[in-house]
Amino acid sequence: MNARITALLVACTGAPVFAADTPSEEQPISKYLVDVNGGSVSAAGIINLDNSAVRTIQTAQDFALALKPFSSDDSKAGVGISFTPARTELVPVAGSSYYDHPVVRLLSNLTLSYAQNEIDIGDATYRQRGYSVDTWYYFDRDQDPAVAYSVAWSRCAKDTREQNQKALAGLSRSDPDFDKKLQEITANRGKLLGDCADNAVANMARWNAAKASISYGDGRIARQGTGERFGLGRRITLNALVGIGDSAAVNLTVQRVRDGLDPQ
Amino acid sequence: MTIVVNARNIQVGRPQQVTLRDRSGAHTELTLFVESLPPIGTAFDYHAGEFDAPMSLPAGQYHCRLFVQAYHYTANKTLTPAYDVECLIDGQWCANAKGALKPGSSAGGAGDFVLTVV
Repeated sequence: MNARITALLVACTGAPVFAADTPSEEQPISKYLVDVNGGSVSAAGIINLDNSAVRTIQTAQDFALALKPFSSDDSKAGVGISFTPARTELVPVAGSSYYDHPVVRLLSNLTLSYAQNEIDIGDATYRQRGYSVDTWYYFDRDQDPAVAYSVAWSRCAKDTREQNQKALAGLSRSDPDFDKKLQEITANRGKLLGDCADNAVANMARWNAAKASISYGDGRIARQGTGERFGLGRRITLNALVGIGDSAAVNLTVQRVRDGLDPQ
Repeated sequence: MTIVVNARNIQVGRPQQVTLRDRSGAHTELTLFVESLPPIGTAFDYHAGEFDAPMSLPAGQYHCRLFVQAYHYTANKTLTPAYDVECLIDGQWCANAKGALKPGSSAGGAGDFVLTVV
Protein backbone atom coordinates (compact mmCIF):
# COMPACT_ATOMS: atom_id res chain seq x y z
CA MET A 1 0.00 0.00 0.00
CA ASN A 2 1.59 3.20 -1.19
CA ALA A 3 0.60 5.46 1.62
CA ARG A 4 2.40 7.61 4.11
CA ILE A 5 1.73 10.28 6.61
CA THR A 6 3.67 13.27 5.39
CA ALA A 7 3.22 15.78 8.13
CA LEU A 8 2.43 15.90 11.78
CA LEU A 9 2.73 19.38 13.09
CA VAL A 10 2.00 20.75 16.49
CA ALA A 11 2.52 24.46 16.79
CA CYS A 12 2.10 26.68 19.79
CA THR A 13 2.38 30.41 19.37
CA GLY A 14 1.84 33.30 21.69
CA ALA A 15 1.98 37.05 21.98
CA PRO A 16 5.49 37.11 23.53
CA VAL A 17 6.86 36.11 20.11
CA PHE A 18 6.16 39.63 18.92
CA ALA A 19 7.12 41.42 22.06
CA ALA A 20 10.69 42.16 20.90
CA ASP A 21 9.48 43.97 17.77
CA THR A 22 6.82 45.98 19.49
CA PRO A 23 8.32 47.23 22.72
CA SER A 24 6.06 50.25 23.14
CA GLU A 25 2.70 48.89 22.13
CA GLU A 26 2.33 45.15 22.05
CA GLN A 27 -0.23 43.93 19.54
CA PRO A 28 -2.29 40.77 20.01
CA ILE A 29 -1.28 37.86 17.86
CA SER A 30 -4.57 37.99 15.99
CA LYS A 31 -3.33 41.12 14.17
CA TYR A 32 -0.53 39.11 12.64
CA LEU A 33 -2.34 35.97 11.65
CA VAL A 34 -3.78 35.76 8.20
CA ASP A 35 -4.87 32.15 8.25
CA VAL A 36 -4.88 29.80 11.18
CA ASN A 37 -5.66 26.75 9.04
CA GLY A 38 -2.54 24.64 8.96
CA GLY A 39 -1.56 22.54 5.95
CA SER A 40 -4.74 22.98 3.98
CA VAL A 41 -4.82 21.51 0.49
CA SER A 42 -5.66 23.67 -2.51
CA ALA A 43 -5.89 22.84 -6.19
CA ALA A 44 -3.38 25.59 -6.98
CA GLY A 45 -0.99 24.24 -4.35
CA ILE A 46 -1.08 20.75 -5.82
CA ILE A 47 0.24 21.98 -9.16
CA ASN A 48 2.43 24.75 -7.70
CA LEU A 49 0.33 27.50 -9.27
CA ASP A 50 0.54 30.96 -7.81
CA ASN A 51 -2.59 31.86 -5.85
CA SER A 52 -2.94 35.12 -7.78
CA ALA A 53 -3.99 33.06 -10.83
CA VAL A 54 -6.99 31.66 -8.96
CA ARG A 55 -10.30 33.42 -9.56
CA THR A 56 -12.88 33.40 -6.80
CA ILE A 57 -16.44 32.93 -8.02
CA GLN A 58 -19.26 34.80 -6.32
CA THR A 59 -21.69 35.55 -9.13
CA ALA A 60 -22.95 33.97 -12.33
CA GLN A 61 -20.90 36.54 -14.27
CA ASP A 62 -17.79 35.42 -12.40
CA PHE A 63 -18.56 31.89 -13.59
CA ALA A 64 -18.65 32.92 -17.23
CA LEU A 65 -15.40 34.85 -16.95
CA ALA A 66 -13.64 32.18 -14.94
CA LEU A 67 -14.53 29.39 -17.33
CA LYS A 68 -13.28 31.26 -20.40
CA PRO A 69 -9.58 30.30 -20.02
CA PHE A 70 -10.56 26.63 -19.66
CA SER A 71 -12.31 26.62 -23.03
CA SER A 72 -8.97 26.65 -24.84
CA ASP A 73 -6.53 23.79 -24.31
CA ASP A 74 -3.84 25.86 -26.01
CA SER A 75 -3.46 28.22 -23.10
CA LYS A 76 -0.13 27.72 -21.34
CA ALA A 77 -0.91 30.19 -18.60
CA GLY A 78 -1.94 28.68 -15.33
CA VAL A 79 -5.50 29.35 -14.25
CA GLY A 80 -7.63 28.30 -11.35
CA ILE A 81 -11.07 28.81 -9.89
CA SER A 82 -12.29 28.69 -6.33
CA PHE A 83 -15.97 28.34 -5.58
CA THR A 84 -17.79 28.40 -2.27
CA PRO A 85 -21.44 27.77 -3.24
CA ALA A 86 -22.93 29.29 -0.09
CA ARG A 87 -21.14 32.58 -0.75
CA THR A 88 -22.78 33.01 -4.12
CA GLU A 89 -26.18 34.14 -5.28
CA LEU A 90 -26.57 30.74 -6.89
CA VAL A 91 -26.98 28.81 -3.63
CA PRO A 92 -28.15 31.26 -0.96
CA VAL A 93 -28.10 29.92 2.59
CA ALA A 94 -30.51 31.25 5.18
CA GLY A 95 -28.85 32.58 8.31
CA SER A 96 -31.24 30.63 10.51
CA SER A 97 -30.34 27.36 8.81
CA TYR A 98 -26.67 28.20 9.22
CA TYR A 99 -27.16 28.88 12.91
CA ASP A 100 -29.42 25.96 13.73
CA HIS A 101 -27.91 23.08 11.76
CA PRO A 102 -24.29 21.89 12.13
CA VAL A 103 -24.46 20.12 8.78
CA VAL A 104 -25.51 23.34 7.03
CA ARG A 105 -22.57 25.17 8.64
CA LEU A 106 -20.23 22.46 7.41
CA LEU A 107 -21.66 22.59 3.88
CA SER A 108 -21.82 26.39 3.81
CA ASN A 109 -18.07 26.58 4.32
CA LEU A 110 -17.38 24.01 1.62
CA THR A 111 -15.01 25.32 -1.04
CA LEU A 112 -14.33 23.61 -4.35
CA SER A 113 -11.30 24.57 -6.38
CA TYR A 114 -9.72 23.56 -9.66
CA ALA A 115 -6.48 24.64 -11.30
CA GLN A 116 -4.45 23.76 -14.37
CA ASN A 117 -1.21 24.82 -16.00
CA GLU A 118 1.58 23.61 -18.25
CA ILE A 119 5.17 22.98 -17.30
CA ASP A 120 8.24 22.05 -19.30
CA ILE A 121 10.43 19.26 -18.00
CA GLY A 122 13.41 18.60 -20.21
CA ASP A 123 12.17 18.63 -23.79
CA ALA A 124 8.66 17.59 -22.89
CA THR A 125 5.65 19.70 -22.04
CA TYR A 126 3.25 18.48 -19.40
CA ARG A 127 -0.22 19.63 -18.51
CA GLN A 128 -1.08 19.55 -14.81
CA ARG A 129 -4.54 19.55 -13.32
CA GLY A 130 -5.53 19.67 -9.68
CA TYR A 131 -8.71 19.91 -7.70
CA SER A 132 -9.56 20.17 -4.03
CA VAL A 133 -12.48 20.24 -1.64
CA ASP A 134 -12.30 21.70 1.85
CA THR A 135 -14.45 22.90 4.69
CA TRP A 136 -14.19 23.87 8.34
CA TYR A 137 -16.33 23.74 11.44
CA TYR A 138 -16.33 25.76 14.67
CA PHE A 139 -17.08 23.63 17.71
CA ASP A 140 -18.85 26.51 19.46
CA ARG A 141 -21.23 28.07 16.94
CA ASP A 142 -21.23 31.39 18.77
CA GLN A 143 -17.50 31.58 18.05
CA ASP A 144 -18.07 31.15 14.34
CA PRO A 145 -17.08 34.55 12.88
CA ALA A 146 -20.23 34.69 10.75
CA VAL A 147 -22.43 34.21 13.81
CA ALA A 148 -20.43 36.47 16.15
CA TYR A 149 -20.40 39.22 13.58
CA SER A 150 -24.12 39.00 13.05
CA VAL A 151 -24.90 39.16 16.75
CA ALA A 152 -22.82 42.35 17.13
CA TRP A 153 -24.41 43.81 14.03
CA SER A 154 -27.94 43.14 15.15
CA ARG A 155 -27.36 44.80 18.51
CA CYS A 156 -26.28 47.99 16.77
CA ALA A 157 -29.13 47.73 14.27
CA LYS A 158 -31.68 47.52 17.06
CA ASP A 159 -30.34 50.64 18.73
CA THR A 160 -30.85 52.69 15.56
CA ARG A 161 -34.18 51.31 14.36
CA GLU A 162 -36.45 54.05 15.72
CA GLN A 163 -34.91 56.65 13.41
CA ASN A 164 -35.78 54.46 10.43
CA GLN A 165 -39.37 54.01 11.59
CA LYS A 166 -39.84 57.77 11.86
CA ALA A 167 -38.61 58.26 8.30
CA LEU A 168 -40.96 55.53 7.02
CA ALA A 169 -43.90 57.03 8.90
CA GLY A 170 -43.41 60.27 6.96
CA LEU A 171 -43.90 58.54 3.59
CA SER A 172 -47.15 58.96 1.72
CA ARG A 173 -48.34 56.75 -1.16
CA SER A 174 -49.80 59.84 -2.83
CA ASP A 175 -46.30 61.27 -3.09
CA PRO A 176 -45.20 60.77 -6.72
CA ASP A 177 -41.68 60.12 -5.46
CA PHE A 178 -42.82 57.46 -2.99
CA ASP A 179 -40.62 54.68 -4.36
CA LYS A 180 -37.64 56.96 -4.77
CA LYS A 181 -37.95 58.26 -1.22
CA LEU A 182 -38.36 54.74 0.14
CA GLN A 183 -35.16 53.69 -1.61
CA GLU A 184 -33.41 56.76 -0.19
CA ILE A 185 -34.56 55.92 3.32
CA THR A 186 -33.47 52.33 2.83
CA ALA A 187 -30.11 53.46 1.45
CA ASN A 188 -29.58 55.78 4.42
CA ARG A 189 -30.56 52.99 6.73
CA GLY A 190 -28.16 50.77 4.83
CA LYS A 191 -25.34 53.24 5.40
CA LEU A 192 -26.11 53.33 9.11
CA LEU A 193 -26.16 49.55 9.22
CA GLY A 194 -22.94 49.56 7.24
CA ASP A 195 -21.36 51.54 10.06
CA CYS A 196 -22.80 48.96 12.43
CA ALA A 197 -21.14 46.31 10.28
CA ASP A 198 -17.77 48.04 10.42
CA ASN A 199 -18.04 48.24 14.18
CA ALA A 200 -19.16 44.63 14.37
CA VAL A 201 -15.93 43.49 12.72
CA ALA A 202 -14.11 44.65 15.82
CA ASN A 203 -16.36 42.45 17.91
CA MET A 204 -15.94 39.29 15.94
CA ALA A 205 -15.19 35.98 17.51
CA ARG A 206 -11.85 35.03 19.05
CA TRP A 207 -9.10 34.55 16.50
CA ASN A 208 -8.19 31.25 18.12
CA ALA A 209 -11.69 29.81 18.53
CA ALA A 210 -11.65 26.00 18.48
CA LYS A 211 -12.33 24.63 15.04
CA ALA A 212 -11.57 21.73 12.75
CA SER A 213 -11.02 21.66 9.03
CA ILE A 214 -10.71 18.93 6.47
CA SER A 215 -9.47 19.14 2.93
CA TYR A 216 -8.97 16.69 0.10
CA GLY A 217 -7.11 17.22 -3.13
CA ASP A 218 -5.96 15.26 -6.15
CA GLY A 219 -3.84 16.07 -9.17
CA ARG A 220 -2.82 14.63 -12.52
CA ILE A 221 0.02 15.36 -14.89
CA ALA A 222 -0.06 14.31 -18.53
CA ARG A 223 2.66 14.53 -21.16
CA GLN A 224 1.46 16.44 -24.18
CA GLY A 225 1.10 14.37 -27.31
CA THR A 226 1.89 10.98 -25.78
CA GLY A 227 -1.02 10.27 -23.50
CA GLU A 228 1.27 9.38 -20.59
CA ARG A 229 -0.42 10.23 -17.30
CA PHE A 230 0.74 10.26 -13.71
CA GLY A 231 -0.88 11.12 -10.42
CA LEU A 232 0.39 14.05 -8.38
CA GLY A 233 -0.87 12.48 -5.19
CA ARG A 234 -4.19 12.28 -3.41
CA ARG A 235 -3.96 14.32 -0.25
CA ILE A 236 -6.25 14.45 2.72
CA THR A 237 -5.59 16.88 5.54
CA LEU A 238 -7.19 17.09 8.94
CA ASN A 239 -6.56 20.17 11.02
CA ALA A 240 -7.66 21.10 14.50
CA LEU A 241 -7.09 24.36 16.30
CA VAL A 242 -7.64 24.84 20.02
CA GLY A 243 -7.23 28.23 21.64
CA ILE A 244 -5.40 28.74 24.93
CA GLY A 245 -6.47 31.96 26.56
CA ASP A 246 -6.53 35.01 24.32
CA SER A 247 -3.05 34.89 22.96
CA ALA A 248 -2.10 31.33 22.12
CA ALA A 249 -3.31 28.35 20.18
CA VAL A 250 -2.38 24.77 19.50
CA ASN A 251 -2.68 23.84 15.85
CA LEU A 252 -2.51 20.16 14.91
CA THR A 253 -2.35 19.07 11.29
CA VAL A 254 -2.23 15.55 9.91
CA GLN A 255 -1.79 15.12 6.18
CA ARG A 256 -1.77 11.87 4.26
CA VAL A 257 -0.57 11.64 0.69
CA ARG A 258 -1.07 8.60 -1.54
CA ASP A 259 0.36 7.84 -4.96
CA GLY A 260 2.40 11.03 -4.97
CA LEU A 261 4.78 11.93 -7.79
CA ASP A 262 7.18 14.86 -7.83
CA PRO A 263 7.61 15.82 -11.50
CA GLN A 264 10.65 17.96 -10.68
CA MET B 1 -33.25 47.51 -5.67
CA THR B 2 -36.96 47.37 -4.92
CA ILE B 3 -38.56 44.55 -3.00
CA VAL B 4 -41.94 43.51 -4.36
CA VAL B 5 -44.32 43.14 -1.46
CA ASN B 6 -47.45 41.14 -2.25
CA ALA B 7 -50.46 42.22 -0.23
CA ARG B 8 -54.13 41.31 0.02
CA ASN B 9 -57.12 42.68 1.89
CA ILE B 10 -58.35 40.63 4.85
CA GLN B 11 -61.15 40.59 7.36
CA VAL B 12 -60.65 39.79 11.04
CA GLY B 13 -62.49 39.85 14.36
CA ARG B 14 -61.59 41.51 17.66
CA PRO B 15 -59.07 41.75 19.26
CA GLN B 16 -56.31 41.11 16.73
CA GLN B 17 -52.91 39.54 16.81
CA VAL B 18 -50.24 40.78 14.38
CA THR B 19 -47.48 38.37 13.45
CA LEU B 20 -44.35 39.47 11.59
CA ARG B 21 -42.37 36.48 10.41
CA ASP B 22 -39.08 35.83 8.68
CA ARG B 23 -38.52 32.29 7.48
CA SER B 24 -35.12 32.95 5.97
CA GLY B 25 -33.25 34.54 8.83
CA ALA B 26 -31.84 37.20 6.54
CA HIS B 27 -31.19 40.66 7.89
CA THR B 28 -34.63 42.16 7.39
CA GLU B 29 -36.68 44.88 9.02
CA LEU B 30 -40.46 44.80 8.90
CA THR B 31 -42.57 47.80 9.84
CA LEU B 32 -46.36 47.72 9.80
CA PHE B 33 -48.31 50.96 9.76
CA VAL B 34 -52.01 50.81 10.53
CA GLU B 35 -53.27 54.26 9.59
CA SER B 36 -52.05 56.73 12.18
CA LEU B 37 -51.37 54.23 14.96
CA PRO B 38 -47.80 53.83 16.21
CA PRO B 39 -45.89 51.49 13.88
CA ILE B 40 -45.37 47.85 14.75
CA GLY B 41 -41.91 46.86 13.74
CA THR B 42 -39.14 44.40 14.34
CA ALA B 43 -35.90 43.19 12.83
CA PHE B 44 -34.83 39.66 12.07
CA ASP B 45 -31.13 39.73 11.85
CA TYR B 46 -29.62 36.29 11.85
CA HIS B 47 -32.23 33.88 13.03
CA ALA B 48 -35.51 33.12 11.41
CA GLY B 49 -38.18 34.26 13.78
CA GLU B 50 -41.57 35.48 14.60
CA PHE B 51 -42.71 38.63 16.35
CA ASP B 52 -46.20 38.89 17.80
CA ALA B 53 -47.98 42.07 18.84
CA PRO B 54 -51.54 42.45 20.11
CA MET B 55 -53.88 45.01 18.58
CA SER B 56 -57.43 45.98 19.57
CA LEU B 57 -58.95 47.90 16.74
CA PRO B 58 -62.69 48.59 16.84
CA ALA B 59 -64.87 47.54 13.92
CA GLY B 60 -64.12 49.41 10.73
CA GLN B 61 -61.81 49.58 7.76
CA TYR B 62 -58.14 50.44 8.13
CA HIS B 63 -55.56 51.20 5.45
CA CYS B 64 -52.35 49.38 6.28
CA ARG B 65 -48.87 49.36 4.82
CA LEU B 66 -46.05 46.90 5.43
CA PHE B 67 -42.51 48.09 4.76
CA VAL B 68 -39.93 45.43 4.08
CA GLN B 69 -36.26 46.38 4.17
CA ALA B 70 -33.47 43.90 3.68
CA TYR B 71 -29.73 44.33 3.96
CA HIS B 72 -26.68 42.25 3.36
CA TYR B 73 -23.92 42.70 5.91
CA THR B 74 -22.31 39.44 6.85
CA ALA B 75 -18.76 38.74 7.84
CA ASN B 76 -16.60 37.96 4.83
CA LYS B 77 -19.73 37.52 2.76
CA THR B 78 -20.01 34.05 4.17
CA LEU B 79 -23.72 33.99 3.53
CA THR B 80 -25.91 35.42 0.85
CA PRO B 81 -29.08 36.49 2.62
CA ALA B 82 -32.27 35.32 1.06
CA TYR B 83 -35.31 37.02 2.54
CA ASP B 84 -38.67 35.38 3.01
CA VAL B 85 -40.95 37.48 5.15
CA GLU B 86 -44.64 37.81 5.80
CA CYS B 87 -47.17 39.63 7.89
CA LEU B 88 -50.20 37.86 9.32
CA ILE B 89 -53.12 39.17 11.29
CA ASP B 90 -55.02 36.57 13.27
CA GLY B 91 -53.23 33.92 11.27
CA GLN B 92 -54.26 35.27 7.87
CA TRP B 93 -51.46 36.47 5.64
CA CYS B 94 -51.88 40.00 4.40
CA ALA B 95 -48.42 40.81 2.99
CA ASN B 96 -45.29 38.88 2.06
CA ALA B 97 -42.05 39.17 0.13
CA LYS B 98 -39.46 36.68 -1.00
CA GLY B 99 -36.17 37.03 -2.85
CA ALA B 100 -32.40 37.27 -2.56
CA LEU B 101 -30.08 40.23 -2.22
CA LYS B 102 -26.86 40.84 -4.07
CA PRO B 103 -23.82 40.79 -1.81
CA GLY B 104 -23.38 44.05 0.05
CA SER B 105 -26.63 45.56 -1.17
CA SER B 106 -29.83 46.80 0.45
CA ALA B 107 -33.41 46.85 -0.78
CA GLY B 108 -36.78 48.14 0.33
CA GLY B 109 -40.40 47.77 -0.65
CA ALA B 110 -43.91 48.42 0.57
CA GLY B 111 -47.26 46.70 0.24
CA ASP B 112 -50.68 48.20 0.99
CA PHE B 113 -53.78 46.38 2.10
CA VAL B 114 -57.12 47.10 3.72
CA LEU B 115 -57.88 45.50 7.06
CA THR B 116 -61.56 45.09 7.84
CA VAL B 117 -62.43 44.52 11.48
CA VAL B 118 -65.90 43.10 12.16
